[in-house]
Amino acid sequence: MATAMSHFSKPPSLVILVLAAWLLLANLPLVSLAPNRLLSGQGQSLWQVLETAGALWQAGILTLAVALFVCLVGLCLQNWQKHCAALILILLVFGVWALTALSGQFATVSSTHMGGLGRISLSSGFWLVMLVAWLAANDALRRVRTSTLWASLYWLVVLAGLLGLISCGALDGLSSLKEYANRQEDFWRAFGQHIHIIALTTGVTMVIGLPLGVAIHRHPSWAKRIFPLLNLVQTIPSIALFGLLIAVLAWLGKLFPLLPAWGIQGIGLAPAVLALTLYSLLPLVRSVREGLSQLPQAVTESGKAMGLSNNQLFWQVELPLAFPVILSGLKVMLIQTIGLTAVAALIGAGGLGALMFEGLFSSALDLVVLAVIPIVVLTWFAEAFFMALTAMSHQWTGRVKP
Amino acid sequence: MIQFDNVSKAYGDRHAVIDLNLSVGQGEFVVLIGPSGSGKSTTLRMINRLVEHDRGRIRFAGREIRDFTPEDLRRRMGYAIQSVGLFPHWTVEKNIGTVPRLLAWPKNKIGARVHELLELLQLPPSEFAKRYPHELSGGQQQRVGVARALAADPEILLMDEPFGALDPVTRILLQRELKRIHALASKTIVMVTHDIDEALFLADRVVLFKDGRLVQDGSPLDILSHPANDFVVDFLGRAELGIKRLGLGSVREFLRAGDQARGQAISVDLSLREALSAFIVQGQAVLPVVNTNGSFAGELHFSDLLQPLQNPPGDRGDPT
Repeated sequence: MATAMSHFSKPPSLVILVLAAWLLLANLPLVSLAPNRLLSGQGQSLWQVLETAGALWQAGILTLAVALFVCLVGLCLQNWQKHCAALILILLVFGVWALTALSGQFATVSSTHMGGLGRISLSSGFWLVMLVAWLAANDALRRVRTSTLWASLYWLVVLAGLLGLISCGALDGLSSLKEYANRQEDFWRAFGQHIHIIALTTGVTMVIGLPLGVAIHRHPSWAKRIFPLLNLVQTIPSIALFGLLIAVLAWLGKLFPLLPAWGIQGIGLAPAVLALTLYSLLPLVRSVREGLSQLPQAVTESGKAMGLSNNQLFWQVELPLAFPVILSGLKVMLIQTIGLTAVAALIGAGGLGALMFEGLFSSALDLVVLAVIPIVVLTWFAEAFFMALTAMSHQWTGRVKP
Repeated sequence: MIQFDNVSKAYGDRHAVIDLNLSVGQGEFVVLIGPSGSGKSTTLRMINRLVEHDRGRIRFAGREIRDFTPEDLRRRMGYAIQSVGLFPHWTVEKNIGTVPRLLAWPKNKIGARVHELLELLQLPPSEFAKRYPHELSGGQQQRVGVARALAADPEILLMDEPFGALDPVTRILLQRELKRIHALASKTIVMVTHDIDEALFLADRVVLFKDGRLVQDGSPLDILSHPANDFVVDFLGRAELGIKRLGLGSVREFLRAGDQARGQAISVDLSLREALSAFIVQGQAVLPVVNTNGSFAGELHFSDLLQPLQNPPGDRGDPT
């Protein structure tokens, strides 16, 4: 008996997460039905949705639920933990896809019933279950002990499936995609502007931040003057900083009439990129300095003693060895910028933030969702990209993963 | 090869090296020794300008070191330190080839040289060339460090406590190897250590420092036989002066003809210090001696150990 008991372990957090997902699904609305764009909707639970969806969907969801349950039991058996976690990963992908497709199908069917005016949007139950599924998948990935590269690939597959569902029209009945159908041109223009702002900010930050970080490393006394300044910028709320820059740039534009001619003026792209760059500098500069200063002194000293010039030492030894740390700074910088760029819409820089605020001010939540989802996806991509890059950079620097 | 004339160096108020006069001849193995903070490391690092001297003149190969650019000077000098400082992102092969690459040697010449050095330091190239530093033991890393210092066949090798961080067995092994390499290539070596036994074993000349000043400069036997003052005696280890002196001679030097001795035979290659131990362990005053190959050589008398040792001409002792 004692030996049999020892094969069982305490129920892991994964079990609690998946059980939570089922509880949420049972009690919260999966989608909401509204008679038109502006009225608030009425919740529909998973069971109501399944009722209209037909026997095939019911059987499918039931099978997934039973399979998940079996895997959860298996997870409590020590010898099967890894296999069960892997199976749960697969089941979670299919679960997420199935729920999304199911909602989409329900939306298509009911909007034809309602004569095209009705709005069916994803509701609290759906979003919370997605969140719980994300947490559960992260937990399961840890249990499988997969490499960062495979984890990135897993997320890519999840995302590709969802994008596939969107592009084949399976979700066209959902309200956010109806918004998209109406505002397709605006959406892609805003998306392009968003990317444009991010790219400009990243470029400018790197051009300023990398040399600045190196300079601070070489002259540590500079750190005392520069870091308080950069820290101060971080404490200013973004909206306030944008506002401040409008005033400053407008004033500069009056002093130097050439500046507005070059597009540097109080509102629009210039203050947005400027403010975002100011925010981005701290994480980048700090990571460059940290990356360089964590190098063992013996390495730089013997580099010098071998007769490497300062330039050779920097490019051949210091920079490659500091690269993984600098990467982590770049990652923080980029993800922060992707999010903050949304706020830049307030000073007329455009981007997805413009759509988001339009939706907020006209209480069209579907439009907000349409603008926010690409921002989340972009952040996700950035995260996965840097995760893969960091894993690879550890190989370049000849070190095992810490 | 290296000539210090009235050289001084201060860090703020602290005088690290005071009015140093020292010359290192071609092919000499000079060990700088002293308590920590005595100026020995500063002296070493002034040679390749990792530390710039304040006053006086340092010459390398007849020219003042400030006539060279630091890079040119350093590429002509090998450098190995206690913490090794291998480049962690480069393979063993690439690490060793650092200076030859800086000197723009042709690729195949670098490859051949790296293989030669790996062989010399008993790291089979097929096994070690492609490894990264973190895949090596401490002793192996230090071997690679020494190989890297030797790579471009420098005129002089500077070493700052190269074996300080190693376990005693590995340290002795590498000391013997360094001695072998020195005998083989008759390279000029300047080494810093605080281990007096290491200094006595390796050096042609020991230079003793205290508080930034040179206290005594001479062969190991000179220093053991005529310590300049009480500080030197204490540093050498007052109680072991005689034993350490015996450590410098070999059985071969006091070998006598005769085959009357009883007891277990000792080898002609043993140091007199080891022979003394054998006398005591075996409780004999005369012991039989055999050659390296095991053939009979003669005998050693305990009373002969009381005679003064002679400074050997040039090469001293046997590395094995």
